[in-house]
Parts: sequence; structure tokens; C-alpha cells
Amino acid sequence: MQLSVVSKTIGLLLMVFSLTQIPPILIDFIYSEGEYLSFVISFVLTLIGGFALWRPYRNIKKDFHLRDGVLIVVCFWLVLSLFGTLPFLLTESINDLTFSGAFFESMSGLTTTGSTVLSQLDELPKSILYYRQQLQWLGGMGIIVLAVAILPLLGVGGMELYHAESSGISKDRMTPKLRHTAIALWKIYVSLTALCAIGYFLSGMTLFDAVGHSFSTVAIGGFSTHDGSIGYFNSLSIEVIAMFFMFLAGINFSLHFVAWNNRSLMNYLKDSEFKTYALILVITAIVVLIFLSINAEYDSSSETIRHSLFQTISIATTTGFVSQKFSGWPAAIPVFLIMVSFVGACVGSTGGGIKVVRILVMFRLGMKEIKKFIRPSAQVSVKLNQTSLTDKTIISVLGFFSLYAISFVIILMLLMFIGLDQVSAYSATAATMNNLGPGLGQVAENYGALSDSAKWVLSFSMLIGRLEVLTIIALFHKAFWRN
Amino acid sequence: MKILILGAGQVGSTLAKYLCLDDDNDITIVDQVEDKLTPLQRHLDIKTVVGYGAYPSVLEKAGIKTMDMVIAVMGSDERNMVACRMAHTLYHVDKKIARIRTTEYLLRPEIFTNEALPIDFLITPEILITDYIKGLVEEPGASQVFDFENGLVQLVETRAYIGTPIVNRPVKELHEHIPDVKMRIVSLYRNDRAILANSDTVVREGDHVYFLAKKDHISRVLKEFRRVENTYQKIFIAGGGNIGLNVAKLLEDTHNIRIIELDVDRAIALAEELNHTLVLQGNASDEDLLLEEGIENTDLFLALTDSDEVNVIVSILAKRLGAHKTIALVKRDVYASLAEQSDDVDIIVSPDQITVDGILSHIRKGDTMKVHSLQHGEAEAIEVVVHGDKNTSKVVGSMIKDLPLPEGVVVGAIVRDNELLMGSKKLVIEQGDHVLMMLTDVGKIHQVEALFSENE
Repeated sequence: MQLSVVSKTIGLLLMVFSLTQIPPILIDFIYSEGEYLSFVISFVLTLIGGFALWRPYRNIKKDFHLRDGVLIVVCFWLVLSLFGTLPFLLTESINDLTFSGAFFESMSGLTTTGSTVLSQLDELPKSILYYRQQLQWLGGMGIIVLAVAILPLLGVGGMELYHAESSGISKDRMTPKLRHTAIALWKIYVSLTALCAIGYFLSGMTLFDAVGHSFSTVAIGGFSTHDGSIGYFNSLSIEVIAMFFMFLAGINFSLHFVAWNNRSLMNYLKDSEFKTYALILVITAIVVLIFLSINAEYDSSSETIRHSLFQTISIATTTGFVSQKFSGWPAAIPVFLIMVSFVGACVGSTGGGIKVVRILVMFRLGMKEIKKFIRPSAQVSVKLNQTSLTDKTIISVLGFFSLYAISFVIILMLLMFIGLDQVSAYSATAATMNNLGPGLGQVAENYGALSDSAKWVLSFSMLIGRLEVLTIIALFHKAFWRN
Repeated sequence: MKILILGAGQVGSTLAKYLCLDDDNDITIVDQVEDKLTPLQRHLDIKTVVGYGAYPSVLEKAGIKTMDMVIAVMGSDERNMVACRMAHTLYHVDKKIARIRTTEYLLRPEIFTNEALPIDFLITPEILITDYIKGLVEEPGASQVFDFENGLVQLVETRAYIGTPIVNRPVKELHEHIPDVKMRIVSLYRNDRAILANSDTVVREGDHVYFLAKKDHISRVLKEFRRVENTYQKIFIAGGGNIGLNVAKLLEDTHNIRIIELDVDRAIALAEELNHTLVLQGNASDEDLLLEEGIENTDLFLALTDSDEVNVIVSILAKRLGAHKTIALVKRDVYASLAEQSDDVDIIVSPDQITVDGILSHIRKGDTMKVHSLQHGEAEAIEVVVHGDKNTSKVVGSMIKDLPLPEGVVVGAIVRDNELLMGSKKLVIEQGDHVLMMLTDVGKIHQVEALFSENE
């Protein structure tokens, strides 16, 4: 472990990210709400913090290795969340916000979870609201991916970082140079965001809301500038646009890249993961639709279709926008939706969860076992996109799943020992680990009422989900620290 | 440049590593075996694709349509040929480089045309290795020898040994020792790191020194760095494979050569092919045989069999039995570094390194006349022709000391009208000069190229 390199890199990244405190200052000048001082102070403190970490080791030119990369990524998420709390703590517009609450909010933003401890959002200054949306947008594509795209000086070390942060079962590159891949990803990301914002604006949102919501939609985050989330607008066209962009953001971005390069949509249809993703969404929506109709929750069938579709896409992609209080829906629907969020979005997207491709691989492995049980001498292979997977890949998927399950159980039990009831604890764990956002029971709308210790556990749970378990758990293994 | 490398063996992966040093290169590498690609993907900023390198579908997946160059270094010659054909016919790739090992194919150069086998540059390790060994034999005391201007000037790497006139003395005294010899030290490596050498730099024992001099003067300069080494007369070659045979053929008229081959049929074939060489059938590790043939009077022992282990072991044996100097052919890096630490093996010749250097030198050749890749691809010796006049060129008319050269770039010499001029500070560059430079950091090459390019 080379702590000097770790400190230097984190300091460097932090200095760059301190710049993200500047847009809220501009927003504050536009709306003149006198909130700029908290952002100016945050900016200066973050810059100084980064400088202090970077300065002592600035001349060190060592390459970092796998373990340094892992440590940097995890530490940087933590450090950035820590400095991200500053505006929340400095502003006077938010009452009784504890440090743990602010950290929860900051982490929830960056990990694109979308759970909030704040209430009465509509009364908060615009700059604070904008800042929350921006946190989600920065976290959506991954803060390291952003860093790699804009910072060529990370060099080869950038690769170790990228691998430690990026998700997926294969590390296929879109371009030979990592930096170009990162730039391509951000280009797609920015374009989707811009289109989404235009769509929202044309559907009647104010410019502020349109930009703010486009940030949290394409990042699959779920923060809103209103307490009522998307439901506040009560507009069909806004919901359709939200659904469309949540769906797009939940697809592997390398598919978008290929589609754009070839000017063709064929590659989507050839991809097993995409097809499964679409299929899961359709099946879930139908199930929700049927149960809502049976229970006659809404008067008209068009209302039923609208809400079941929106809530399905919002929860299944792990966005967490709410158009209707789905936690109050009858029968098993709320729990069912939370279960679907475990599947989550595709790898290489901005969404959370276990990821569709892993579920698909495990499903096909199950099918293989059944086939082999019926025909013991049959040679069956587990295939993905017409190529069979190596045992190594399958084992890594199963290993990931087991770690995910173990982490889930541990966090769930911790919450219950802290004193949450079963429904709240279960849904809070799922909502944070899958980077979903809203839960059920006590945490259906707001996490503010939870105890500080519960907030810390949940903040940790969000990071586990965002960095896909392995990176974090590795830090707790003694082999990681042994030289 | 966008470069596609087919085959991630020793040569392919080493090439990828060196080409990566230049930030302008986008590298993609293809191999059938995923395990060979995983470590590359981990350590290098390149794209890897699993698949059979001659299949169009795999080539397309690797993005061949946008490639500027394809380098086929897969295990089989035929596969490399087909891959180049594919790249040419289906995807119109501009430059195709292939490794061809089999001599049979090389005997008919007319097949390597755009109509038949479109390969722009053939790399043949055996020929390169043979030339390399020939260079070493002709310059006793040198670890590496590179030609410029068809051999008028040579760049030589040597090691400074204790007890010689130059060790622990500043470089400028070298010129006082041999005032009539034109030579210039262009680079000094201490503990594998380049140090800036000027006339006051003190040479230490074990330093690796690169110097430029006229070919006829090389041996005189070398004497300053090493104990006197007479020209090699009696040479022993272990292993009568293609390399052994070719080396023997090149040297048998001027040297006294014995060659040991284990295989009876091969030994007979060697005897038929060679005229003045004594061919011995037997085991190179047979102590009695070596002693009987006078190993203790041997000037140079060359271990050139197919097996790394045998080459290292017989070199050690020969040295212990009294051979003055040993050179071993070693493919694997692990053995090479082990053998380098042993005093019994004097020089390691690595076929893969030579192949890689050959390809790199070719790729790097643009307006530069000649490129030699040194220090495992980190450094380069280049020869550039100065075009243009005072108005169009940034270098014509300026003195060497005034050139805005990046750090780590040294002008070693200038060849003007076939005359060698050493790169002293006050020498003024003229149109048509051939400038020989040493770059300790390959990354600076673009700056150097820009400096010497002619403004239209």
C-alpha cells in the first residue's frame, strides 16, 4: 500500500471537484436568495482540503497498483460525500440537520440513491435544491469516470481506478484508450441529459425544474425539487418523458455508443441483456396493472395503466421517482416492486441493483442444471449473446451474488437491532443497497425520522451498492492490508 | 496512430507495451487465449479482443476498419499472411507488418506483393538475430552495435570495467587519451537510469555507455572501457539450428569455427552446407568433447540451441572450462535476467527483444532515415535528414547548442557529404545534414520531429 499516492490522488481529485460548488453560487445570484456564502465557504474548504492532501506528496511519481486503486476509489467516495455535506450544514435554511443527516443526504445524492432526510423541499432555496440534483448527476456516470475523462494526468493509474469503480461482468472497452471511452460515456450522458431537459421544459416544467429533474432522471437518481416528486406536476407528458429517459439511462451505455456509431438500432435487439431488461419491465408492469385493476385502486383504466407503468419503470430501473404513493398500494405490489429493484438496470448504465445480466446468467445456470438433471449426459453451456461463458465468469457472478446477499442480511439485521420494524428495515436496506431511494413503512417518504446510527448504516449500504460490493468488502479483508 | 496487433505472445505483448509509451497511439490487441489478454488489459491502456486473429468477424470486432496499421505476430506464418490479406482486401488497411519465420517463403520475395500477399514489412527474427550476433562478433567488447549510414558510423553500447583508463575519470579525459579518434558519448546509464553526460561526468564501474564513432575506430574506443580484447579468432557454436548455421556461414571465412550439433542427420546436413567449419556431432554439455576440442583456448562461445535452459547451462560450463567469452540466446525474460546476473554468461541475446526492436524501428520510421530502439524501447537513436533552408527550417543555420531540444535529447554527430562531424556545441547545422540523435525518452520524439520538419 502506498498511502502517499493515495493521498496525492484524492487531493487532486478533491481540488477538481471543489469546482462543482461554483454552479450553485451562480444559481443563487440568479434567484438572489442570499445563499451564496455557504457555497463559497464550501468551495474554499474543499479546495483547501484537497490541497492539503495533495501538497505534501505532489512530487511523488509512483504508479499505483490494484490495491491502491481500490483504496483511492472507496476513500474518494467517502471524502467527497464528506465535503458534500458542507453546503447542507452551512446553510441556515435547513433546520435541525445533524451531521449524520447531512452525510446521508450527500451520499444518497452521489450514489444516485435518492433517499432524502429533508422535508419541505418546496421552501428551500433554489441553490440548495440545485446542488442536490447536481450531486446526483455527478455521481450518475461515476465520479471516477468523470475524473478519467477530464484528467489525463491520472495516466495508467486511471485504469486501476476505473476498474475499481466501473460495474459489469466484462470489462470490454469501447475504444482502445480508456480516456476516450470515458469521454464517449460522458458525451452520451450529457446528450441524454440535455434532451431530457428539453423534453421536460417543453412539457411545461420551469427551466429550473426541467434541468434539475433531467439531472436526476438520466443519473437514475430520484431526487426532486418538490416534496411531491414527479407527482407534483401531475402531467402525463412529463411522466412519459421521465419514463422514456429512465428506460434509456438503464441500458448499457456501450450499446448507445455502438448504436450512435453505426447509426442503427439493430445492436439493441441482438443484446440478450437488453432484451431481458425490456422483458422484465413488461412483465412487472403487467403484474402491477393486474393487481391494481383487481383492487380497483383507480377509477379509470387509463389512470391505472399510467401509474402502474410509471411506478414500474421508476422502481425497476432503481430511479425512485414517485408519481403516486406506491407504498400505499394494496396487496403485495409494494413489496413486489421493491423485489424487482434487486434486478435493477443493465451493467454499464447509471442504474443500481444486482444488474440484469447477472440475474440472466444465474437464471441460465439454473436452467442448465435442470437440463443436466433430466439428461445427465447432455453437454449444456451457459450462453450470453451466442457465446458461451467461461466458468470463471459464472463463478464471479455467483460470488458477487453471495456477497450481495450476505451484505444485505448483515445490514438488515443491523437496522433491526437499531430498532426499525421489519418492513421499514427490509425496504430501507433494499432501497439503499439497490440505490433505489424510497422505501416502505417508516421510510416511505423520508428518512429524516431515523436515528443517527441507522443513517450511518444506510449511508454505508448505499456505497456498497454503488461500488458493487466487492470493492468495499475487499477493504475489510486482511489480505488487502498485507504487503 | 491506430494500431492493431494480432497475437499476444511475447512479441505481441511487448510491442503493445512499448507502443503504449507514445500517447498518440491507440492500441488494440487480439488473441485467442483470454488469459494472455487479461494481464495486458490490467496494466496497459489498450483494448483487448478475444478471438482468432485471421477471422473477419474478429477483426471487425477489434475495429479494423479505422486502423492505420496491422501487425501480425501470431504463432503461425500462414495465419499472419492470411490476416494481412484480410486487412488489405476487406478493410484497406494502409500498413501491414507480419512476422514470417519460415525460410521457404522468404526465398520467393515476389509473393509479397499487393496482388498476392500484401505485407509491407516482413520481420524475420532469424535474419535479425544472425545480423545482431555478427555485429557482436565483429566488435569484441561491445554489448550492442547499431549501424548508421550503411555502417560508416556505429552506435555502440558497452560496459565500463574497473581497472580501465576511463573508469573513475571524467569523460573529457577520454578525448585526451585518444585525441585522433572522433567519438562522442551520447548517453550514460547507471543502474538502468539515464544520466545526463557532459564532459565533466565521471564514468563509474558498471555504467552502460552509448557512444558514436566511425566503424574503424570502434575497437580503439572500446579499449578505454574494457580490458584489452583481441578480435575473436576461435569460435565455438553450440546448436546447429538455422541461427547457428547462418552465423557459421557468415563467419567461417574469417574465423576458426566449430559447431556442435546433437542430431546426426542435422550434423551431416551442416557439414554439407559449410565449407571451412568443423562440424561436431555430440552434446554441447559433454565436458570431454569440449575439452578435447580445446575449449580453454576459445575466444567466444555462442550458445544458440532452441532451449533457453541448455543455452544458459552450456554457457556457464564453457566459461568454467576456460572459454573467454560467452553469448547465450535466451527467449524467456526470467532466464534472461537470471543469466545477466551471472558472470559466466557475458551477453544475452533475446530474439523477442530483437524482433520487437526491429518492428518498432520500422514503425517509427517516418521522415527519419533510421531508428534504433534501445533500452527495451524506452530510448531511441535516430537519424534525421535536414530539409529546407534558413527560412523554412527551424534548425538550418543554428548552432547545436542553440537548438531548443527537449531534455534528454542529445545530438551525437552529423554526417555531411559522407564526412562524420562530431556534435560539438558550436557546429552549425546546414541543409542536407544527416543528424544522429539519441533520445533517452521516446516520448519526446514528436517534439524532435516537429523541430526538424520543414515549414511549407
